[in-house]
Amino acid sequence: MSDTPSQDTGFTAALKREFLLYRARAADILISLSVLAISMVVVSSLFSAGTLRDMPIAVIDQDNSSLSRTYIRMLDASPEMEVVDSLVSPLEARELLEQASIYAFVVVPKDFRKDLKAGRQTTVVAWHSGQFLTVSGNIMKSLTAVTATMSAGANMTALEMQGESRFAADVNFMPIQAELRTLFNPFHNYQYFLVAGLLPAMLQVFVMIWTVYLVGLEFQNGTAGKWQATAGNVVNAVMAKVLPIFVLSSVIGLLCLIWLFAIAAWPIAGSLPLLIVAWILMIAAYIVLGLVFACFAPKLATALSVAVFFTAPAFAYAGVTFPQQAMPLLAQFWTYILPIKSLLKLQIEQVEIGASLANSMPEIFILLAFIVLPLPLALYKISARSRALQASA
Amino acid sequence: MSEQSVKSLWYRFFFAYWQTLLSVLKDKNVLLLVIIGPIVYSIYYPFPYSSELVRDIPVAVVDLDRSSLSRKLIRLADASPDLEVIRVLNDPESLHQAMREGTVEGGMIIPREFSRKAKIGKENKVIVLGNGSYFMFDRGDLLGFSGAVQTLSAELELSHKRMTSLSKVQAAEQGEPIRLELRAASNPTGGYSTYIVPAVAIIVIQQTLLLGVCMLLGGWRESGAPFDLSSLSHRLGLTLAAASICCVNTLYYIGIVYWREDYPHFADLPDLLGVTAIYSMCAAAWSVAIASFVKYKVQAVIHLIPTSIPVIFMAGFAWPIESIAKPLVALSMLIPSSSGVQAFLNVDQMGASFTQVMPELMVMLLLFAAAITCIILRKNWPKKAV
Repeated sequence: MSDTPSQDTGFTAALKREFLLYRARAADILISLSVLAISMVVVSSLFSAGTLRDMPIAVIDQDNSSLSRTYIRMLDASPEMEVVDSLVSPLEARELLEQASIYAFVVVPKDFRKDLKAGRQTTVVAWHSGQFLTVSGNIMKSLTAVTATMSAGANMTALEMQGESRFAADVNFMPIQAELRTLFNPFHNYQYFLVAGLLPAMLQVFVMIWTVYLVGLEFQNGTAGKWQATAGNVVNAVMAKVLPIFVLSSVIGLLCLIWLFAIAAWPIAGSLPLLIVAWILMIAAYIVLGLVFACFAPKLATALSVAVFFTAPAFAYAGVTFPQQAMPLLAQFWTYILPIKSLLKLQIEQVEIGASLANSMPEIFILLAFIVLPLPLALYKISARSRALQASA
Repeated sequence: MSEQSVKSLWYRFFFAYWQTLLSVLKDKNVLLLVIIGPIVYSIYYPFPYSSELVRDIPVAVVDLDRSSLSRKLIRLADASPDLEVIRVLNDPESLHQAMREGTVEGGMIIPREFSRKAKIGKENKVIVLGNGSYFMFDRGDLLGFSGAVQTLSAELELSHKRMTSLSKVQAAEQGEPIRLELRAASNPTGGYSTYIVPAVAIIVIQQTLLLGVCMLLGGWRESGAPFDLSSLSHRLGLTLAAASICCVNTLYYIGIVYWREDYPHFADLPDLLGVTAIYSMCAAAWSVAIASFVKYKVQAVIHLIPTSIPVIFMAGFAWPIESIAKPLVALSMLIPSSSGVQAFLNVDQMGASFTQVMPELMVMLLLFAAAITCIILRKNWPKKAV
């Protein structure tokens, strides 16, 4: 660059110009960063209980015998449920269920004890709020387990009363049992499961919105020509433009990872370095997509609105809460357009499942494709639009 | 106050009301947020969940017994709507491997001697492996496999008891002295879309309104408002206009989207309209109060977007309020959608009456009062365009 005054053009000059722009917008950046930090802290602390425990349920004990009371005590003792109310009328219980004061109520029938003693089958009815899918799923599982335990006890008593000794009853006939084991996240910990996915989901929004904003401002204010001129060429210009936001976002990403796997110390079954690489690649991918949105949308506000639409609901398509395989084909294709989906797939493979590196390579390549493929297009368009702006000025 | 000035207050109120709606229609970007946004989201959000349930999860079975009984168990598992047995393997390690690779999402191990033990009723255990990193898979794995095991076990027990000369009914009753009958009072099919969309919809309506109103007022601050906001009647007209947009969006979701998606509906129309009116007023006043602090058009978009995720999870439908720390519950009450989601779900999805959701409505009314007080007292509003 001997033919240009080294003070005024080139990558360093462009970077210097960026820092001046950041200084002018210091308040904006600080507010944005604080909002992001608060959101991340709120989400992490929301799930601090980890698992669903002591969900309120009610009982209607129509039998009021020692056996029914034992059953209710067993329900209360299970970690998932807490009996908060003992009611008389199902109507009353129904009302509590409707207003979500309880998540289920159990009706123990009138002849509960008598039927069991006589060896007759008795039916316990449990109403639950299916609307709260996660809570009711947990309660159903727990109710089934408690009732099976109680049932097994009753069975034994009945056999004993029929004159078989306890020992004989024990070996009489054992049903086949299914031992339920859960691989990967065996404690059903929502913090482990959701927070690790929601943190990058918030980060991607921040990265993309700020990239679109910073690039879009140059077009909106008509300063794109000056921006290009300071940098000397479009590659320098774009690099200088996105470097601060890339560094800032990477630091936030690393802080998230440090919090998750060093401070909260969640186990990581696979490769942490690969996970770090993937987070960094995701940040870069959203920066490149941000460039594309900013230079193709005619107005800054429009580019931002489209970026909001692209990033804010992305978690719904990421396949973490509802698996991708169960989605309609079109939605399955769409998930590939969202870099967050590839990151979260890799994250689950590396953190929870402990898959091999080779297994996670497709995700790395997809993230790389998000960076490499649209970049030339964005550079071309930014350069063309800046020149047009300069010409019209 | 003279009749003349009362008349002029009403005139100003409605002037601001119509001017605001007109500005929303004229500004493409605001329109994109508050009208087009909710319509697009109403298609985009329910779409991935349109199958409602996770069916035919690919699973593998390790059959160490290789007997007719173990093959029967595999057939039973495959017949379950939750599962599809795509592989039968020879050793547990290859099952673990397949699960790590993600080719199968669950599995079952049938031990040696399974058939012999089952027939004589000796202690006998199969192992079901669920995938805890995807909760919907885990749930389906456990339900599908344990259902198959129970069916087979009941069948064997029945034939055993028949041999020991009990009647069929007696035998069945002895096998399971306490029968648990689970009945869902709401969302009876356990649909995922039914669970997530009616709650998220309320939040989408609020968030798009907030961003739209912020963009509108931010734009007015940059290039002038169509009317003089220093007049209180004008500000109240603006607030009612925002509430009308919110109300129309809510009715669109409840009336058209829920109907199209076929979600269960329990509410009486008057109850539902009451909740809609209170929610719309609250969300609108809250948005206008926040927007009065916005300095330029796109400020809210840049600053507030990451908050959507905590707002969703603070609403208490995906993660119950009972499990959220008290300070965060208090914080969530400062957001209209938290009480709004609960009130709408209780009334429309679960069949509560207007009076049953009084606590939620009171929180919204208090929030509305606070926001209106802010709108009345605040002095710094965008200037009228000259």
